[in-house]
Amino acid sequence: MRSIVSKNVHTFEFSGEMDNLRISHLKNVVIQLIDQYKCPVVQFDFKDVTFIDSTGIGFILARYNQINAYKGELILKNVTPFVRKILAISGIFQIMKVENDDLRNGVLR
Amino acid sequence: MNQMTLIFDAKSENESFARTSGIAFLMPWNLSVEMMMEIKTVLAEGIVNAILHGYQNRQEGKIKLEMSVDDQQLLTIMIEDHGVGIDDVVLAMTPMYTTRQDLERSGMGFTIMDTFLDALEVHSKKGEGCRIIGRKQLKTYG
Repeated sequence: MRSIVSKNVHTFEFSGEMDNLRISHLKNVVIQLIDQYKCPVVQFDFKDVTFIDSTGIGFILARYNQINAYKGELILKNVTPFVRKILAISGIFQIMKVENDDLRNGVLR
Repeated sequence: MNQMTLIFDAKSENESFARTSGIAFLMPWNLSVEMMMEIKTVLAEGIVNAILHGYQNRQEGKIKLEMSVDDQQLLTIMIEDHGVGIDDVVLAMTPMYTTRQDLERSGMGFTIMDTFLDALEVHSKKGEGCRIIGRKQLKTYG
């Protein structure tokens, strides 16, 4: 995982399999980093994520609540088709904004 | 008919071993990437349920994973633990219902399994462990 803070935007780049074990290792670090900067916009980038399950949904919802508590916004970026499928089941897209690099470049996949 | 059984410790570090082994068993059927990802997710959800709910995240106990494919290419997955069991199976299968909010669980595990399977059965009684049976028609790709 990479955490990049630039101009009030805090980006987390996740990679590989975001399963229960991985998230249990990541969770406290992400919580702490979000609290440290309290950026108005936090982005979760899923470009290199190859697997996610209900653990990931729980993690995203909990961070959404954490960021919402200080009136920040959580944006999901580069959601791959597989990640999109899992997140869609949970209805996450009804409350969170999704941005894709390729959509911004005008290329629809 | 082809069948396999895997018994492993209910440790989080075995989650990826078990779901990947389950997928490896299905390699001869040359499934689409999409179908493999769906089955991998079903396995992940069932195994995490056994570790976190069944064995209450104590990182001990045994999980049994059985997979079989019959002559009509119907896949049957069985995931069994001997943990605390589920008081109310119907309630447990309700989307967003979780007993472990403290662990930031989404309560979507059974819903995801149900979405990706053709049929899902959960057999459990309090104190008697849990047995999840899932069925999915395989479609060979290409």
